[in-house]
Amino acid sequence: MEYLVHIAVMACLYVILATSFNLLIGFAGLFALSHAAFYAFGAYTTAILSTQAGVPFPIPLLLGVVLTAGVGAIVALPALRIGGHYLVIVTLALQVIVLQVLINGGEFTGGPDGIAGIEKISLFGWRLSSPHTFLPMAIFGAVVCTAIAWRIARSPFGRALKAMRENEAAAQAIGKNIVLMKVIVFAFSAGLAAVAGSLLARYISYVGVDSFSIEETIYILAMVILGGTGNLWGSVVGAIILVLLPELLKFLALPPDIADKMRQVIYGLILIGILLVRPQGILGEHSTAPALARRARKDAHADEEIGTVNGTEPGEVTVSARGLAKSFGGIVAVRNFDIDLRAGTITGLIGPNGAGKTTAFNMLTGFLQPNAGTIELRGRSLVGLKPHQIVREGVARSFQDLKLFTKMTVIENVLVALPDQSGDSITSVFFRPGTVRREEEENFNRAVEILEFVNLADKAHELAENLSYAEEKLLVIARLLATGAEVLLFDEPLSGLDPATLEEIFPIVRRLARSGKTICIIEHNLDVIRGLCDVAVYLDEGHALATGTPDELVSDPELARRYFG
Amino acid sequence: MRRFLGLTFCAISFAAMAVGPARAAEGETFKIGALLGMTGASSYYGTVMSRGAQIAIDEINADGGIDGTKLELLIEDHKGGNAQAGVAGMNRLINIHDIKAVLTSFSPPTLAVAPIATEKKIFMINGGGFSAKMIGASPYLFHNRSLATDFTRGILLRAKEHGFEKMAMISVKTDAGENVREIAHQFWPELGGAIVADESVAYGAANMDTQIAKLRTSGADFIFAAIFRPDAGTFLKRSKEFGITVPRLGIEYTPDDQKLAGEAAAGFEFTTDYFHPTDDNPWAQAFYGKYKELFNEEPDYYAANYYEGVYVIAELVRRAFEAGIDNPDGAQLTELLWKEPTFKSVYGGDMVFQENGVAQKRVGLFEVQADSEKKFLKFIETTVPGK
Repeated sequence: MEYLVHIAVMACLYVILATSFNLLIGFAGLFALSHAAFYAFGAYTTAILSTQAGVPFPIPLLLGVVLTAGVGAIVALPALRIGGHYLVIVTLALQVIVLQVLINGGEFTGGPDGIAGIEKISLFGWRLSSPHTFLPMAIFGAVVCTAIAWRIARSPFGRALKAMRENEAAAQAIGKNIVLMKVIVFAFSAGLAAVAGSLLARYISYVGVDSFSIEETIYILAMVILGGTGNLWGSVVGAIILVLLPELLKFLALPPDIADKMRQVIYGLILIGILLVRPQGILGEHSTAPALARRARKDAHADEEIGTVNGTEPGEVTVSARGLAKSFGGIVAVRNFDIDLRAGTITGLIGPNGAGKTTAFNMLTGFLQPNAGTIELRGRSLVGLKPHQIVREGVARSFQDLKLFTKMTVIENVLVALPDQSGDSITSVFFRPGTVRREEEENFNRAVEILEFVNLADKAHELAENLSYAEEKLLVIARLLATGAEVLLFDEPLSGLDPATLEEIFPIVRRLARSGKTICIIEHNLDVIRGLCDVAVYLDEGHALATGTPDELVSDPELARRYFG
Repeated sequence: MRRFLGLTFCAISFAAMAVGPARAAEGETFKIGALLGMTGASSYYGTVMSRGAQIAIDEINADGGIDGTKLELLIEDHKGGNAQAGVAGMNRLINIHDIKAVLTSFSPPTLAVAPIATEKKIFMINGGGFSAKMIGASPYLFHNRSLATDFTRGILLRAKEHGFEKMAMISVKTDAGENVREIAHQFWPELGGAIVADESVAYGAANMDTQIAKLRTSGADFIFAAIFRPDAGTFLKRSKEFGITVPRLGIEYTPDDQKLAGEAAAGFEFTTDYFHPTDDNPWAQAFYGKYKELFNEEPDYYAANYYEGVYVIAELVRRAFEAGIDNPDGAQLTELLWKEPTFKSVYGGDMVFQENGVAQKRVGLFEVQADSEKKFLKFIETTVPGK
């Protein structure tokens, strides 16, 4: 039955659109509402090249993919600086602009009339002119595009996308280049949408602006949300349901002049009903780790000590900052700040609220660039480097508000932070799959070891959002440890914990220091400073007032007066 | 989930098989499909077109059908001009209902389904879309609405008759508006006129004040409004409020425009399919009366065109039966049309399908009166003498 085959063809095209859109929204967390514009780029490229230049299949499709991927990468540029509602507005504007260009493109784009007479695909003398003959092509396109999206989503790169979605700052703090990631995911999402557009143009031999309106973007978005964001199978299911449902409703007998309006109302009510029952979508998000767990070999790093820093002399200065200054407008947050952090030493950074401790951390880790001063790691300047570059150099930090990747499992939080993963490179994901797979297994074992080190192994497959507060703190340590950085900066890692929990965490931090790590902790709790730190720096009004052992600082009456008021 | 999808697919398959071949085989009903904009911003058109078509179906069936064969109208929604929705609807009509003749509307979906019509031999008659790009899209595609070329030439010839030289135009950014604009840009200079302003508005624009202000300062002898419902009403209202005094000429004025513009439409001249139930046209009067009785409003020419379109198809089916063809396809209906391309028109007199598939009908010139009612002035030629 040709009608059913036609539905199947359309379902295939929407599977491509929904899975590619899910990459952007569900995985990368980039709420860009311009997917129909990318879809249009693919369709019009094929239509124009086919009708005006007679370019045969598959060249227009390939050029459309490349062109649209390029446009997607350019669209990513504003996304580097803005997010949330602003990205929605910017991409909506792109959608409108693209439609206006197509409407006003005259003979080139066919204007409001669109372009008709697009040549059908011919393969080996076989013309794909009917739904039956086109269906294998549509299925092939859907399978290939979904496989590409799946490969990205299930790779370390996909895991990093989810980390970026959860918290961009935290993703940077574990060494992820979010600029590059955004550009890549936009390009892939747009390029895949262009495949659907090109196939549509060939299938119905016509393209017109009405097929690529903002309503179309929202329609695809509904498929993603209905199926479940962050789950590609959900997008497949969402696309199939939303293509089938209106067809089913056609069989409802209603008065002719209001039938289609009523069907739309019923259609809307059904969607609302489904989402009330399954607000997270029909298929929820799932972790990549269980599959790894089945493949992993437990002996991969059995005899390697967690956190060991080779070639480091205890007491050796690793990080040295001199004359750091930072002001925000007229407010001086840090001025003339000097600090030395040493290998195997736990340095405490104390001082009242507003003293500039976190600002100092932000400068040491590249989240803020100092107005003046130098920062060196073993003689190499860190000033001017991006946060992810500084992590790769060997300096990593945690955040006061933890910034865990809450919708990811505990082990994913650790896995994603492991350094030098081949799978972080999109070319390796596609062209060195064996290497990536082997590394994944090794990394899984490594992550398990790190979790065992912080006593969280039994929670490996829990979502981070389900952890207790103390467990969250341990996961912060594990994630920081996973970066492999030799200098670890903890921003209030122990605040809010009860004494018993502190007694569990102290040995972990001390063990890290013994293994050669350079550790610096911002802390308000003087008992923690005295119990844990070898050296303390007292910071007030953006300036290091004193440096010494914790006992020396605590016993200084002037510092006590400043601290306690 | 697999179970749900499986059941869904089975349900559609079952319904499709149950509805399609069984009825087609009975041969007691000839089904006519209609691809109309039933939802979205353009649902007005779908509503009036479907009403017109259904009245014709009911009339023919009440008279015993075509040699006993009843007609049935099956409507599919193209959502106000969406090509994909048009293709989906066409596939349903063909594959589920075994339709051989379709009333189509709007240029984009008509262009999108034209290849299907050609391949499946589906007779199509368009009474709504009027982009000239539809000409030749399928050998089985006909138009009982005069296309943009005729209306535009007609109203510009009227402008020439007035002695105007400088034209300011405003067009809507749709396939139809753009098509009219292109023809005007070509035809008005041919008539020796000049275009001193050229503004465009989006379809359904609530605010076109900027464009109207530019038109006012253009120094034009007249303004040509290549815009349609409801924008024509908005334009007439706001242009009057802006103090535009030069004549305004256009190509559409529906009851909706009349409601919106009110007395501000006075003096507006427009060419259109001439549907005006005059005393010498009892068929038009009967249709007018029935439509008004059923829906408590006057039929416009969209309703009339689709009413008429059903009668064209019915006449072709009657000819097929006479020729011994029980279940004619689009190719056979087309062949029968070309054997005798003259049909009775609800607009009065006969209409003749030309080689390009467009029915040559009388194009009426109207003027809106002070009470916002339109008044028929005369028929107007759409060709330039000697060309």
